[in-house]
Amino acid sequence: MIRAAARIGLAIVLLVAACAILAPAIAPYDPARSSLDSLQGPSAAHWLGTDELGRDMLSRVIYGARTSLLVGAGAAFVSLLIGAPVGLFAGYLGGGADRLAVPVIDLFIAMPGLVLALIITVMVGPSLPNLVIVLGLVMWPSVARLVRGQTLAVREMAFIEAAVVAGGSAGWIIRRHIWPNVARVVAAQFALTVSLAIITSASLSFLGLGIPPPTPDWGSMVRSGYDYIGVNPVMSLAPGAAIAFTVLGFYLLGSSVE
Amino acid sequence: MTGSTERRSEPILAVEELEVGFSVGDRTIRAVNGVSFSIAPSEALAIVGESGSGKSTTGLAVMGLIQRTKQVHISGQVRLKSKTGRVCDVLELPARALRQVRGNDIAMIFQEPMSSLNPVYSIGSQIAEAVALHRRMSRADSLARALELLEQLSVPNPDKCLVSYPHQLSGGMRQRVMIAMALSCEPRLLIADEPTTALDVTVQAQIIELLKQVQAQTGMAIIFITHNLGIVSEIAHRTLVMYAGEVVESVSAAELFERPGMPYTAALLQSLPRIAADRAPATKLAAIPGSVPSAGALPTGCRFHPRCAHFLAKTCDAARPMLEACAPGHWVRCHRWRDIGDFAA
Repeated sequence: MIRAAARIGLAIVLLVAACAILAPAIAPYDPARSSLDSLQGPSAAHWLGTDELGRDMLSRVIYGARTSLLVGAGAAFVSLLIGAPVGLFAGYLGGGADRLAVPVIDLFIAMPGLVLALIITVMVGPSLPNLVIVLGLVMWPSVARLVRGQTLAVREMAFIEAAVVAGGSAGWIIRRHIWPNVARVVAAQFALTVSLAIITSASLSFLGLGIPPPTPDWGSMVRSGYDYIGVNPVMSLAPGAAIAFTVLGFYLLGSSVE
Repeated sequence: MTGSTERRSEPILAVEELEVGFSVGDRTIRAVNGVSFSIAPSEALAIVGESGSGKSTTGLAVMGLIQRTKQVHISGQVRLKSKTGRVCDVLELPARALRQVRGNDIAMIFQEPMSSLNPVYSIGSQIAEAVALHRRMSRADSLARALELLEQLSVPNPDKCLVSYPHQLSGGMRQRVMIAMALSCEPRLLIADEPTTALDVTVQAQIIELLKQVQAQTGMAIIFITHNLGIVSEIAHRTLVMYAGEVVESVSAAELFERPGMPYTAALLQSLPRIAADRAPATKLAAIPGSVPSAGALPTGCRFHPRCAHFLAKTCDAARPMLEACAPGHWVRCHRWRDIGDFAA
């Protein structure tokens, strides 16, 4: 059961990744090329129809995978970059470091991520690199909390005591002995973090604070399709389905490898 | 007295009046009280006692593993003669210097060989890493050193052992690997905290034999922390018996079994199971009544008096006895050692 979920998740992720990498080869049109055939429903020429500028929806959805994966993986990586060291040091050193880190982590977790991301994005302005950093800043506390918990468990193991006795410094013990034992769980969490980042970035884009046009982005596509939902519902539904599909893939992968 | 010449050579470790206390709420639990001993190269010292007697705490303090904090009080001296010949007090060393001592001057092995190895690394890389902590060496050289150590410890198929992971080895093998790691930087003192407790009896004997062999080869001093008197007879030159945080007897291993001075030691010896032809099989094993007092609620006077068969009211429960010499090289903490022991006054 769990194996099957992991396989399906992996298949979805690979499929989306293939779309992202091979986009120029498999997309039937240039995603930025507009034409006079605007707001058309699905047809043989345009499988998913066209948007308000006559751009091919299928091509835009395929290219959108690039943006989503880039933002998702990038944000998850940034959150790992901040969260893992904080969790490792707070968990291993304990004492003052831990008493400082835990309230900060709790404070960030208590705030709704989307609202926090909105506020920061408004301050720094929407762009792809900014989005990656902002989402990373919003999501690192859950990574830190997970890593800290795992570190506390590993710290009590006899081989850590043996490493102390062998003369290892705190940094060395964390790097060589704790991190490799914590990394497995973090890897599982990574996929979940990616799915959360994708859905949050899509929400930001839907609210108009995501990737600026003309870069094809699923969240922004759902937003622009929303204005024409009575005329051409596929314009919103297709990128929406792509978001759901991708998030499901990462979620299945992340929640089943633990 | 056997071993007295060895004892006169300059000690590599001298512990003086070691005190360790832990504050819990508004009470202080005195885990170790005024423990003093010294150990010379090639000497094997056993520290014997029940759980809670302070023997492991003493070992941890010697390694500098007990940090002074608001709740942890530690005083006394742990003077170590390092490889460079300098004498330092482990308790006062800054963290960086302490890391130089650990693994390099003093090594330690533990009770749980099952969990003392990191599951994610191969044996070879773990030993190599311990080597590289204190020696500037290439990866290839430190792996070669790891192989050499495993050979020295007569591990069968050492090449295969190097590339295996901890879960693939038996308990005895893992303890050998732990010993190899401990020996990797040629320490002058090895602290073995119940190293054989988790092992089968036959494997126990092998490990003890191995440690004796290594000691003969390297002249390393060994502190054996144990509750197993059988091990004491096999390896130790001298024994420190601890009870409720203090040393109650210090004696050569031979004399320990011949004429123990302290009633507690005598009772411990009597509670050893023995195979004796002249004893009826139905004889019950002697046990010491009661249990070790908690370090937060110590009895007055002699700490062993509530459990002692030779208890004398107004003597044993009045003043705390001192450690007195009852014979050359034999010290005992008992008011009544003259009356009950086998000593010519």
